[in-house]
Amino acid sequence: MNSGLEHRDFAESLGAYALGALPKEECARVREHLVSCRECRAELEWLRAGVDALPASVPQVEAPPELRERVMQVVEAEAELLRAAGEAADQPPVRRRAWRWWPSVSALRPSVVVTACAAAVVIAGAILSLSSGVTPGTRTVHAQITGPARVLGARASLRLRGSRAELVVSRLPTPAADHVDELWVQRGSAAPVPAGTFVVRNGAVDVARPVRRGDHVLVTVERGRGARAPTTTPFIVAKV
Amino acid sequence: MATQRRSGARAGGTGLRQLGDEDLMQLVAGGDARAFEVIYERHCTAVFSLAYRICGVRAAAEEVAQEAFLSIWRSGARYDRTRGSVRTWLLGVVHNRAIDSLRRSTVHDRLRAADETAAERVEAPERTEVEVARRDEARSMRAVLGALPSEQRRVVELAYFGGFTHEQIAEMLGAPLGTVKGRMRLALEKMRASIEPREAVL
Repeated sequence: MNSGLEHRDFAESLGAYALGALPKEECARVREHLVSCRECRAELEWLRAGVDALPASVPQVEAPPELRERVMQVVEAEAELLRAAGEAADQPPVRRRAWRWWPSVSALRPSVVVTACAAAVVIAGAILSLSSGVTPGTRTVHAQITGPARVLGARASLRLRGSRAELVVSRLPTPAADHVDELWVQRGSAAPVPAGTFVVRNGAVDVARPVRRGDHVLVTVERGRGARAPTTTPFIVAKV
Repeated sequence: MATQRRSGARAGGTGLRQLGDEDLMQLVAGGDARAFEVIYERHCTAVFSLAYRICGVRAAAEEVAQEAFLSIWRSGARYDRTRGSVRTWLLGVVHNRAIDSLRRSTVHDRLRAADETAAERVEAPERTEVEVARRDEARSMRAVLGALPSEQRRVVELAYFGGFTHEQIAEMLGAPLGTVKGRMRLALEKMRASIEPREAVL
């Protein structure tokens, strides 16, 4: 117990602690108590959500454009230094140019996307490898991943059983808010057909359409609840 | 919450824009300036608004916002997704720096900062659907604050936006220390209870 103070004393101070309104010494005592008191930790977490909501109550004022210029000038200069430092820099390796070819959303027209899908399929077809299934009648196909997802270490494979397919993913980047990942099945040179949407970081997702040998299963990121035709280039491609 | 879609935005490619903040921070930790630029675009209004609300002066708010963003850029590797969203982390950094800045100013400035009407008159025009949503969110959060008993709202504003300690607030209001602590706690409990259903949507 700290300085003869009771649990109740600490509990009473949690609101002030969450608001950052305790003087340094008292703050340190509460912090010490929190290490050993699960009840207070849970209570603090509950109260903190109230504090975290306070910034949202603030009238929204547009940041001046010069602020962005100043911030990005420093950031770009430091990023350049990191690049120049190369392997000597104390940074994890990031393959910065891996997705430079990625087109902007505004530039994507359906025809361009279909062509991009076809190109992605051709590339993936050349790279994909098959491995033996884990259970009788089941086989697994490794999927090709491109773009930021690849840089972030995502993995994906397709588990096949008859005409049913299941996409198994790990470390998949979470789509931005108001976006989902969408599955597509593409047969030959036909337009890809929607096969379900998902937001899964690690796990398995059913492909909601039957597949057959030679089909391609694609994944794109789409806005809202998904699209009827891909609007972005597939970042996962697997050949059945 | 929707993604930022301002026309003329220059940050990174489509692939980056489609990533969530947590994954972008992983790239920022590796020194990716384009990923950082997406983070900047998504949160610059919220960051500047909070800094301005606390500092009350544009120049000071700009300085605080700049320091906070550069701190995020340089310490991106320390972001821990298990301890909350990037937005909450970022706004926490802004709050700490703004309060530090405020504590170097006069008591008069700090009392003005704690007065929630001070910044009302400078709201920017709504331009994007994200900003409209944020504006609505701000209005409803102000309604939640406004629904608190005035003595509870006052202690929260003095502490959070004015950077005063509970002892200073007790002295200012002529109220016992225990009462001030109690009001803070009650106010936060009520706020938490009001926003609970909103969290699922945001």
